[in-house]
Amino acid sequence: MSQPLLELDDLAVRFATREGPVTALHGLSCTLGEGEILGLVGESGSGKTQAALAILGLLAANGRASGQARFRGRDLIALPPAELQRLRGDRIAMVFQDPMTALNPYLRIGAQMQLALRRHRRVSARAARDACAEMLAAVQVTDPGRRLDMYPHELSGGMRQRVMIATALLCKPDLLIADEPTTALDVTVQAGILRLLAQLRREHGTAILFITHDLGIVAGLCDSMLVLRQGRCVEQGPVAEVLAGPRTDYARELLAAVPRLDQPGPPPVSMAGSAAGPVTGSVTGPVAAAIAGPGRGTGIDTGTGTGTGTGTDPATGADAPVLSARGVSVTFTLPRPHPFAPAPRLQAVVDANLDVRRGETLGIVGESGSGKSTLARAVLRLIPPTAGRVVLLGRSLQGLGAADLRAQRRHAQLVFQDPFAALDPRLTIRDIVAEPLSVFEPSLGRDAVTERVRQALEDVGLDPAAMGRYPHQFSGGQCQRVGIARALVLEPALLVCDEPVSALDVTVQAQVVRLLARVQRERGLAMLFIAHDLAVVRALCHRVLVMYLGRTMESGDAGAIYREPRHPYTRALLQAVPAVDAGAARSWESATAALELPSPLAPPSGCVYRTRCPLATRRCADEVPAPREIAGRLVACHHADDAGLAA
Amino acid sequence: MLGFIVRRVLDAIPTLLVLVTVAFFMIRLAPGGPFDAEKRLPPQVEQNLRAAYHLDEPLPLQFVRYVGNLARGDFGPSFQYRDRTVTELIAIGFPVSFRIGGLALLVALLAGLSLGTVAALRQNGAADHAAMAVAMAGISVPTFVVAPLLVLLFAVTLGWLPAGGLGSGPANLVLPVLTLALPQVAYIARLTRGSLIEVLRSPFIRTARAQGLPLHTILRYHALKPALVPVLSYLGPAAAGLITGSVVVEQIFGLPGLGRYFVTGALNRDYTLVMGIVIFYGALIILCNLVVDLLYGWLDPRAVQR
Amino acid sequence: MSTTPPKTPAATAATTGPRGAAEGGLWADAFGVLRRNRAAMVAAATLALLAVLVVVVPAVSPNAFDRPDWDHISAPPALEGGRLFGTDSLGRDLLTRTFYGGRMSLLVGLVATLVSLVLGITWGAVAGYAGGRVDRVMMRIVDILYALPFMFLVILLMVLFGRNILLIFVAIGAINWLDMARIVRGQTLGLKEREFVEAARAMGVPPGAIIRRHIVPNLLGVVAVYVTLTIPQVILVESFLSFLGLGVQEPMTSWGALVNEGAQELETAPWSLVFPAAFLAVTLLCFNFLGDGLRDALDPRDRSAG
Repeated sequence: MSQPLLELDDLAVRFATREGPVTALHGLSCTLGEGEILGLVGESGSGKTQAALAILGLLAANGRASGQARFRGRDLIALPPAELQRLRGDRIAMVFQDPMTALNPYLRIGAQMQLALRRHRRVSARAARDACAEMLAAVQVTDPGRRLDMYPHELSGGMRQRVMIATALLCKPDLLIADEPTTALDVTVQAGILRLLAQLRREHGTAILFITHDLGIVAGLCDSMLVLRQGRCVEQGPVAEVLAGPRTDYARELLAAVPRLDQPGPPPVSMAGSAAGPVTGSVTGPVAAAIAGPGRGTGIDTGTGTGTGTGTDPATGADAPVLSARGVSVTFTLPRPHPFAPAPRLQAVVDANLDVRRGETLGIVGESGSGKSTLARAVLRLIPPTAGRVVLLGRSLQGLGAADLRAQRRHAQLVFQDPFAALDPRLTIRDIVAEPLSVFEPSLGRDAVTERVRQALEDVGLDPAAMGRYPHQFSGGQCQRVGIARALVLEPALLVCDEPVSALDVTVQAQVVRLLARVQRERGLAMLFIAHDLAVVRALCHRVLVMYLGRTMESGDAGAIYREPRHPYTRALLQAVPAVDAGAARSWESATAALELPSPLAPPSGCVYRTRCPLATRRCADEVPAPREIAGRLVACHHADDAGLAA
Repeated sequence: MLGFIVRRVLDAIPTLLVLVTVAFFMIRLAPGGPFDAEKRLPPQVEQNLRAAYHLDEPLPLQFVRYVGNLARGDFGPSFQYRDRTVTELIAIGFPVSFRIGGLALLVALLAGLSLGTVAALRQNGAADHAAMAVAMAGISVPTFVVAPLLVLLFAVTLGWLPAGGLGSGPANLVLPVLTLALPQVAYIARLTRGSLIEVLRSPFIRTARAQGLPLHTILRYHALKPALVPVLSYLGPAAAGLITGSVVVEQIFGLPGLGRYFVTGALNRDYTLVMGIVIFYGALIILCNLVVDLLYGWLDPRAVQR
Repeated sequence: MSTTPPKTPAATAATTGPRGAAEGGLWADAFGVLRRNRAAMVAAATLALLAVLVVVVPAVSPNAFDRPDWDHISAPPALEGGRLFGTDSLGRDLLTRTFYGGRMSLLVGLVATLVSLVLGITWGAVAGYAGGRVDRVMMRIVDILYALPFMFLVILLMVLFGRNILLIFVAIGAINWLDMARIVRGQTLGLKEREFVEAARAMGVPPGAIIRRHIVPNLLGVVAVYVTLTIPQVILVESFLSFLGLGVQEPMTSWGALVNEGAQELETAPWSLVFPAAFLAVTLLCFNFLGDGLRDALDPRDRSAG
């Protein structure tokens, strides 16, 4: 057998820092054959990116690599810089994580690509341009000729990543290093990129070193894998073997931490008065009433059959929702492009309805630009809704003065996405958690406040001894716990979580999800959980609401929707999620909806999803689909019935 | 792009109006007039003079008259140089100031950009430290300290260059231009160093390195444009700084430029001349900012959209 | 253009384990970094020493700053009589005058910076926090003022309204508040979008408390840097005015005025230029070094690098 394409032999990376030398990677050894895909898996700080940079000689100025990285037998670490430079971009190419920043914003796409190509190939400008256009077409960039003259900011994230990949492939490299190439992208876009990489290997035999934190991707794409933890290789082997029977604790933990679409959801809401349970009870009554909406006639037949729906005003019934929103819309007016143009208007949320009851979690799912965060802020009136009615604990939030509104805020608290950004860096943990108390219980003495803070920190699993420290001295997961403690210290009725785990590592993410599930259950909290990760939503939510371009596509019982999605968009979303089980069908291979998201400034007529929908017909362009009740949930699709049958 | 230009030009109009209004009323509201000089004029003569310059009219009417004349490019007659109009005086003084200022800007750009680039590429090396020491001195030692020292060294001690005056040859320009350019060299060098270091750290430069591009290609095609953006946006303030600096430099080197006219005009309460120069320079600064904005739109493709 | 901040899922912010060994807040960390910056620490010590000397020396000196001594006109530096810096053309002791002038220069630097600080922070924070139309109008005003040739207006002010110390403070402060307002507004806008401010709003913290507890403390770093960099600029502007003969009035003096006098006797009595010029330059240098050091210490990007 011939020599492998890439052989790492005791590869280590050390950084000289002010605090002394830091080892980012300890002796990594592995091999990658021609045309193979190796998954390098690890959480942040595991050294996976540094390994890639070391191979290419791109470490930061204070970094040093040792050991060997043999590419076709030549040791890259010992190679003179000039020779390594000739290899880079020619035989070994790299694709970086964030396509927003990895492309030069000042240069046209064509110029960047041609620079890369003409560095390694003697071709005329004309021929280079043609080659670039050809390569763009090969990675399924539409209208490649025109794209070459565009700047990166004129392209969407998915398109930009395709441009990055096309640039990397210009010289037909033998090895492609992809560092989290899909992490910054939406799932449906990610599915397209993964398909592209799989196809690349199939058709050109390009070997890929795929760096990721996502075991789902590894399961579907890679041949072998290597798990890194804090700079050390923990486990390596064929993907199927490792995933089927991880030998080390850490690999097991990592695998267990991955949220799954097929896992059972949270235990049902146990509440007196909700006889029909969450499935029917939650869908029919309030949500069906929501269709009627405020001011759109009250005599509409709400009981499509099943429910215990009493038809009473949702805000006053016995099992009245903690939070109830009807017909909420948010429209932003943007600055005019020039003095004589009309100000563009962006409909971020259109006519949204939702109810959250005690002890129940409602998930709001959608890709970026779906308006899910805006909706959450609008129901809390952190962003003023342009239309609609919101009732919190039986009290309408409309028309409340600033002071009254602030008084209501004690009942509804928020947990944020970025755990560091959400904590004031200049306050101690104690002062951060105590802040809501200082607003709502100013009469509490210093010791009483400290005691409450201690209690809150213990509840979220933090050592109260750390009270005097500052946020930057904690990890992301710990900071997120502080954020949760702060939200809970007033014992609110409603907790709104905006992507609370998306910035965390998988294992930490699992811990925080467990924590949220526990406090929600123990305290009977009503929870609004916003996320783009469908699997995390599955783990926590009783009901879900799927949004696309500000409109609600499908809403209802989580179990039912995950089992049998009725809206074509929901189905596309679910299919795009890479499944972690080895040998599981690579659902993303067949995922639809790889097409570009339309501009939210000029949404398509009729059904906004129709431009990406496989079922779209003439009717979808002409007529906005009204939410209909199908199989115990609300679906806004003209073809939902056919879709169900077709599936 | 066209909308961008139109918007910027429209933006400049209220700025000019404010400038004219402020200048006009500040001078009119000040105590003392142009004719209460050393020797008192006979009341009748002063009366006639006031009438001739329309100073006997109500203020608002004067203002409207002044703005109307301005629109036709007429800054009015000078009070002091009675046989000249302000427009003529500006036409005499400005070329001198412009020659020095323009040359100084050129020197500042060339020297500043080179020093800054060298410093950034040799970050924390000897060249960096030397360049930044020069830059630090440039912003810390005032023009009016540098100028006499340069004169002492090059004119008095070494006798290589003339100490002042306009003279005939370009030799007279060397010291003024150098003096005027020095602080701007310093600012531009510091700015260039900082922005180039920042740019070289950015992810897209790493991408370019991963493509195997050599350093000079990266600098020329990838790093130059973004690194120039902060320097470009400094050009507006730099132009203003050069104009201000010219007051001192013209004073020290005895050059008959606009700055000198301004100072003497101000000391002699030559209303129209001073006002004319303030408005003229204001317009010049606005023009510089406009040009910078347009260059900005050309340099940064994203700026046009905002 | 997007309405919600871009979501970058996973691996953006997370790190493992407590970061930074130092106990204490960001200020403590920053101070630690600053203490390791030798240039900045030397600069700070020098400035402290200077501040003491400027207060003490004129008070204890045997030679009053304004008493002419006709026997020692333009005398060179000598130990005798304590005239270490020599005397000026009126025979006044330059040592006393230099420190007395330093008192004035530093005072102008501090007071005018304070003026610009108060104006700038108020204007910028209000515009930034209010946002929307209020912000647009307020910043439009700043834009317009930016285009005015301010130095000229200050000169005009000095000429028209007399050389009044108070006027100098206000006029110079009025130039610099524009920068301060822009910076503070930009920071406030950024802070307002930060999640911890939104968190406070969501918790029902009233706006006043948000500004007090969350916005202002987080602004202080930038403001501190800016203040140390504004003081030298202000001192420079004052000395510039004094140099043109438009600053403080005789017999009071400042470094700028002393340099002006010294420059005129450059060839006969070089010491009368050298000492004030050196003190002026060293002071400016120190402030600039301290400002740079402070910026590096407070900028987390630079902290992680190198």
